[in-house]
Amino acid sequence: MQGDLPSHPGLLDWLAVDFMEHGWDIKRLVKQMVMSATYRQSAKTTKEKLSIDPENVYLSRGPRFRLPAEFVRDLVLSSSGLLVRTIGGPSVKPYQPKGLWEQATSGRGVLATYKQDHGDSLYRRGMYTFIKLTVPPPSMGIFDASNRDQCEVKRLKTNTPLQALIMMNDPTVLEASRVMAQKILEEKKDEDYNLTKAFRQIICRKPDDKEMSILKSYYDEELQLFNQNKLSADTTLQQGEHAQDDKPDKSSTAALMKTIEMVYNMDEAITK
Amino acid sequence: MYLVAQKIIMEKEILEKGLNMNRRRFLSRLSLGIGSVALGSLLIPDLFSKKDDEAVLTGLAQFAPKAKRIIYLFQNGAPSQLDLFDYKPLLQKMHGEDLPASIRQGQRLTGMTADQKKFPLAGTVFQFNQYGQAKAYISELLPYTAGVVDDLCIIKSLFTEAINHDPALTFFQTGAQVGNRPSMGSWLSYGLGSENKNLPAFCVLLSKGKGNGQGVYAKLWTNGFLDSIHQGVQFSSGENPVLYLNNPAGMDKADRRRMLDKLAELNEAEYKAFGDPEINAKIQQYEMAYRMQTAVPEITDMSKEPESIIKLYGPDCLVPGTFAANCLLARKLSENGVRFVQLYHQGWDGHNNLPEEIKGQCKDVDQASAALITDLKQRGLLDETLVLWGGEFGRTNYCQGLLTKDNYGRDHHPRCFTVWMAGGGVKPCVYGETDDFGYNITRNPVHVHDFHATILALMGIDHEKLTFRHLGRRYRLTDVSGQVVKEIMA
Repeated sequence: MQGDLPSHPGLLDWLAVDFMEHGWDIKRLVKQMVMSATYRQSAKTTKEKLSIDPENVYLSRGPRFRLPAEFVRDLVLSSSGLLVRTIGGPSVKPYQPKGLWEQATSGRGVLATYKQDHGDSLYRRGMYTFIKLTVPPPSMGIFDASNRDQCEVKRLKTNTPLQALIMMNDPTVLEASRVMAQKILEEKKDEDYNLTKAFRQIICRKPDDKEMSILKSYYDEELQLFNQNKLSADTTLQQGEHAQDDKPDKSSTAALMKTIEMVYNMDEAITK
Repeated sequence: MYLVAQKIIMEKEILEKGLNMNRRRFLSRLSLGIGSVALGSLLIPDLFSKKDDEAVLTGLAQFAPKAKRIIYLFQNGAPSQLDLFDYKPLLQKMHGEDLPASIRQGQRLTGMTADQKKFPLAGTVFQFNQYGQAKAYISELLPYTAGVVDDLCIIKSLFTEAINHDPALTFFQTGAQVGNRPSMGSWLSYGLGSENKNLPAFCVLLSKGKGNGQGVYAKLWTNGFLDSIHQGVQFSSGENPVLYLNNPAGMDKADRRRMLDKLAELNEAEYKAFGDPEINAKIQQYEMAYRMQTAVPEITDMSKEPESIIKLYGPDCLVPGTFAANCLLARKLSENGVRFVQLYHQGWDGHNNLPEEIKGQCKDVDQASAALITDLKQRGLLDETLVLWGGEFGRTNYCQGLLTKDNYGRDHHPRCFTVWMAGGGVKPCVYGETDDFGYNITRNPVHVHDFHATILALMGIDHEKLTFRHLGRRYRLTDVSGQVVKEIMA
């Protein structure tokens, strides 16, 4: 296996010596890197930067790459408050399209059929998702998770329509959208507050004026359709096993849920 | 409506900016192989086309291709060539006698039969006849296949090193027994791109027979170290033909379109701020996902197929999840430009009770396999569609377990087995020969690498030139060997 020559050999040497001199502390090393001015640069780039340093080898801007597979799940669950932060324990079986294991296996053995978990086990971190080696979880593999056939030094970071389909239609994302909508509406604030809060919880910054107007126009349109019964709020809200909340108005909840779904699908949502 | 998204995406400056960024990045970053440009065409469907409606650019084949698409009817578990295609009357004569060491020549056996004290030869209980211009031997189990024999190139001299299913399957699909190499479909998607920008380039359809099954695995259609856009997309017979394809309950197409339009506005604002070309690529992916949501259900909808076609494939073709249904779906996918359609039919692993099990397996696949050939021919597509049929290795001429007059099992046999090819520039004939014991190849051996090299050649690709640089060396489907079998190319 061969790698490239280092781009910053002097820096690499310095870091190596500093690492050794401080007790080979990996946590300290990671903290050192992520708190450096270089790492904390904005990812915003200019035409000039892109032409000189397209791959960001010279660290002319902050890193910007899609979250690894497990973290996409973590983001969706934690931003909506669904994440169960228990550490350790056996792997869990969250939502998965029906029939995947059954189609592929020989029919023998303990893992011939998929027995989905319920309750808290549905909302664990991505790293706890059960991996059946011959039929690895599609929501992970589609986001470039390893299928454990061999050790990987680095994962691919691809961009495919199947990923788009997951963010649009995976029950995990839909349920998180609903639950977040229900929680925000419990606070009984106004539309601007609700949209801003939802946006912040996912994108981790406030929406600017342009974005706010896009969110509002979508929300208002959906709200009208639900109020006029042109779309069914009841059907829309039936996503996921997490308890339903009947207190907030259904049309508002459904409209907010769909706006949140849209925000989850933004490129920035799953990009670091 | 499309207008908002169209405006954003089709706006020339953005596209060109994206094009320039991505074209340069692809060509510099990826392998020296021709695939890099095809990759670009998959991620940005309009990279080369002049108008939006044209099919995605493909080609860049290294010489004139005979076939443009492949349908691989993989018979998982290893069908017994001795009961289907390789007629050995000597085995019937010597039924029950021990396999001579002179014939076995030290071939390693699986753990299942290695400890047997005797290796009694098992003659087939099935009747064989000769068919067609090549006077090919086909058993009574495959009457429909016999009916299309003049379109088939039957290769009796395939061989492999792998003796068990996992490594053998992996070898057939990826060119190596170790895992995580790109599969055949992925290589072709990488090398040639897709003909249809609304469908994946590589689709996988699974079915199961009642015979002894060996599972299939995601690594058989993995993209390996190639971009994950080349991964085989598994179709399922359930509600969602492609995973996560359907919009959630309560959301219709117009609704989805509204959301995508607004989403594109949000992403476009992001692009203005960050200038990252990946954002544009993402907008494109969402548009492709949207198109797939329409294109896929159209393809999987069998209700518009004429009665004559249903009859041709047999009534099973309307039952989703059967081999026959998958064959019909394969034709539809292929005719709509899907580069590689991979079918798997489980259940051929006849270690015990073979005569009984193989009847069921053949009933599952015979009519539909032949129907596919006829169907493609009628549509004038057979010349440009390469159809492949076969398993991962052969079966032994000696019996596994108890041998009776009319019942036997056969163990794995890598040293010789039969596959057939049709269409796509293949010459109908019978190629290769095995000895009278059906144990060794006597003429024209074709190794798995040779098989792959030939397939690529028929698709217009030099198997030594379709490469990808990974971990310090160039990889290719045929790894480090393989000769094109020119004699079977028309």
